[in-house]
Amino acid sequence: MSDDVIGQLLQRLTTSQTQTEAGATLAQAAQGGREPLYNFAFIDEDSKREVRRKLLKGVALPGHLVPFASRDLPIARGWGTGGLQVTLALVEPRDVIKVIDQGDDDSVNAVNLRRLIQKTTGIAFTTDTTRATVLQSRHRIPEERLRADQILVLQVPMADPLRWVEPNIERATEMHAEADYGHMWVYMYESVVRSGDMNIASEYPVIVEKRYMMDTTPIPRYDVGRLHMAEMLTLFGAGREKRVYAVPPYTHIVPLEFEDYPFTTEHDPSKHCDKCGANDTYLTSYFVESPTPEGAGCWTYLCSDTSYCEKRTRVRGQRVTMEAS
Amino acid sequence: MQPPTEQEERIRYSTVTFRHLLDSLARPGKITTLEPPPFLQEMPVYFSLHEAAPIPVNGYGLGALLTLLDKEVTFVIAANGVWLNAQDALMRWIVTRSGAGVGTPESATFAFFCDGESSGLLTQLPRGTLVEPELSATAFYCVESLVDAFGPLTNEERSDGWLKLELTGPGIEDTHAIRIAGLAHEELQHIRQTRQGYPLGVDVYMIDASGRCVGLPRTTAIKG
Amino acid sequence: MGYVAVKGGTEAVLNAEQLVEYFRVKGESEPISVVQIQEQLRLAVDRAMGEGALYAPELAALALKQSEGDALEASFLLRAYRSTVPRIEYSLPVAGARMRPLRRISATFKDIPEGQLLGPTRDYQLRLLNTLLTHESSASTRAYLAQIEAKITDETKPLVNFPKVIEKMREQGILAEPPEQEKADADADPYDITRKALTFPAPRSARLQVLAQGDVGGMLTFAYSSVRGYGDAHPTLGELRVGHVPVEVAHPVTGEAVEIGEILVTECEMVSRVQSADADESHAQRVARGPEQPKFGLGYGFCFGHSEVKAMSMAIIDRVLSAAKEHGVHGEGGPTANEEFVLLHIDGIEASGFTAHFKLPHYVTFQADISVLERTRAFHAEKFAAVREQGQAKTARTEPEEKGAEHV
Repeated sequence: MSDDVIGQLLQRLTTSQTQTEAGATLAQAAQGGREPLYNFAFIDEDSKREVRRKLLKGVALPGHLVPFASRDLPIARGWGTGGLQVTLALVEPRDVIKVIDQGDDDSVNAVNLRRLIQKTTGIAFTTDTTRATVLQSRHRIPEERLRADQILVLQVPMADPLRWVEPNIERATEMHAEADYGHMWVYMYESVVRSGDMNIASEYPVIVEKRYMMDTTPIPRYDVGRLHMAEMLTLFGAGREKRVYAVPPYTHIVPLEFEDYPFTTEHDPSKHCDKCGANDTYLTSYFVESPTPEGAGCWTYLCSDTSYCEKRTRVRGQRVTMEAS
Repeated sequence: MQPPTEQEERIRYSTVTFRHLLDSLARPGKITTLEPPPFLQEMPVYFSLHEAAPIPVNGYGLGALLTLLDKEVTFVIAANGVWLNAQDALMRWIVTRSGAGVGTPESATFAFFCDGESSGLLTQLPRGTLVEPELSATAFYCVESLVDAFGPLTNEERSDGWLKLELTGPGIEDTHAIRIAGLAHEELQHIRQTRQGYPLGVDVYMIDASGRCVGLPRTTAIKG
Repeated sequence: MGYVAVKGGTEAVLNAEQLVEYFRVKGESEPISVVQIQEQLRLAVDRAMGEGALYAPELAALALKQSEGDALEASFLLRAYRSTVPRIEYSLPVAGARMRPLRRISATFKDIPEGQLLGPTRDYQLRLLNTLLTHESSASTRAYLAQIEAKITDETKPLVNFPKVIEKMREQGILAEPPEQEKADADADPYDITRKALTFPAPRSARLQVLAQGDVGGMLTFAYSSVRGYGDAHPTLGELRVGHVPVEVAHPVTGEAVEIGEILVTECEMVSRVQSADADESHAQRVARGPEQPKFGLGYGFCFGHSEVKAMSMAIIDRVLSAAKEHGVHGEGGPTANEEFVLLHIDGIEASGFTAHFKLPHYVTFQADISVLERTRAFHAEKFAAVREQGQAKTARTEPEEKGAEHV
């Protein structure tokens, strides 16, 4: 009997049947209700205030790591508690939130974070980048250019860019204090010698306003340029490492590079998204099952920013319909 | 839905005010308007030498300060170019409502200038250290008026004591100019002095009588 | 206006949760009561409280039930709960000397004032599985309890005050004083790691806080490594106490100490020989200092509930870190002597959270890694081809008849 039930439940994990609880959550969201047992946005006012004070100092010191008393949350360390605390310290009832992971609103971790924010704030959510006022993201900056009325919150696994060369925090902090970044430049140089180019794939180090070296978080190199002279404010939260930092709008962000080895991204304009056709977005490879059981299936490319891809696909579809009629 | 309770209102005000302060600091020179604080009816006063009488403290500024104070931080207040002592009514008013500790000028987390003139007191505030530049103070000035600037000051404005500030730095696309009434001209020199030697520096907010607010983080270069 | 479900992600997460619950109860055995866990698995409860950093035995038992016995998961639940509870007061310092001990032993001297109190310990048991426990019933436990109760006489002895063994050592002048900086820190308010992020070098109060809530497995590894030779610790157990200590707060009006309850704790003091001379000390300095006065340094261990392994490991680690800071260690320092290394990796909730996070999708960065990998491969292939070309060209020059026709 038990094996049958397990089989059924396992099946449901991959189908999209509506569950009553999911329905309830959606209904609650629609009503703007929130779980009254918790303080608005879960963490207590003292904790929010601490994060807020530190964020203000972070904005006054672009790229500098500001320690903060990161609280223990019901979500595991390493799973976005820093970004979450920043978001929870920011949000007010009129905000509209978007949460993504790998660019996908529906990625399981984004779903989980969204549930906590939803449960404790009752504020509206969206998958549409252009409609959000606060966007929390792991590992991507959305394709659609963010505006001055939007705040981007990035989740940070490892805050200090110097950890590649100096794992000891005390020494690394001194290096930042003295702007003593020689070791990193040597590291970059050595990587060029060893592998023909700089071998840092993501978490790319940049220099902020000619002063602080900063880790850009595991966004692809493709996204690094979006931080430079941007219209939006970007806040970074590292919960486990207990640091926040910030890149204000219109701030100079320069990736580490050499004259003869300039910074390059992963972009390959010859590759297209299989769904919407874009060749100017960040693509990730997917294995697509063959429609027939005998077929082999194949690797294809799809936009990592799923909501943008969907928009483009819809527009494409409409255009085709319009042309047909 | 139920109307918000007093507690919920206070939480909402804290959050919205913080968003304004964050926006101001992230976009130096951008003028945002703060919400009136929930305690407007019971505004404390300070004795203004300028008016030769007790006058209400700038409520918008005080409200903004209170949203950032709690028992983990300390504050100092100055009026007429003099630090108020701990027994002062205004100081006690703030301590009771926030739980924050009375600080010393050399170590306070927050400083509040009831008027637009610190008489150099700003330079006593901590500017942080190379290792911990974030330990610097944040100072609030209460000025008369904050407006965007679209051209040079008129002669009348100049004689009335208006200052025009041209701002550049992170958060500003190219350059941004604002006009301020009620800020002593010497303050610009004091502000510049406290932010020599980046990353050290005091971060500054200016709030006018109508609640308009401008943020000047230490990264902003001020010409004026 | 509300969230639009795009695909099955939400449903998948909710189904996974249902499945967890299903696995917990599918055996259809009698549900365990929280009271049973609290009473019969008290050591698991104590561990959860210690690592959850919250003294709440019923909640710890509930957490263990909810997490199906996963110790880290249970302490995680308690830590998260602790964040939601407002802090209304700070207690006065708790004095171990005022403990009502269940157990109190020392390895330093054969006989100690008031004697060695073995208490409830498995130390001397033979580790043989007791199959009788599978047939335990309320009747059998009641019969056993009746046996014990029969042995308790009506004679009430006065409560013994067990003086601290290290106090005797202090009187004898063989216990080293803590360094000046530490004494100054001890008079100030303790560093609160829940209110201030840890920075290095860390004050001792911060170190002890981090260790007190550390994962016992990790702490055991550090302590074990240091006594095995990767460190300078040759410790002796000064004292180990397990018992109830009163918790007091200052009365808000009168300021007098008021007892609000008591908690069960384990306290351990380890001593080891300290290097009395600075290796860099000059001859003049040594002469000025006077004759050698070797003393014993103290390492302190403390945790909620009854966990001797934890308190002892903590005391050993504390001793090693103090020695490393104060005198420099002779012999190999080992990882335990590195304060940053220990304190940043000893928290079970942080460590397990981050290790587990590798299960989260990483395909965006993996794609980036692939692009760098391909670039590096291309670079190496080019290099290899160039090297081979050079080699073949050289061979071609030396043996033109054989190699000339070969395609290069």
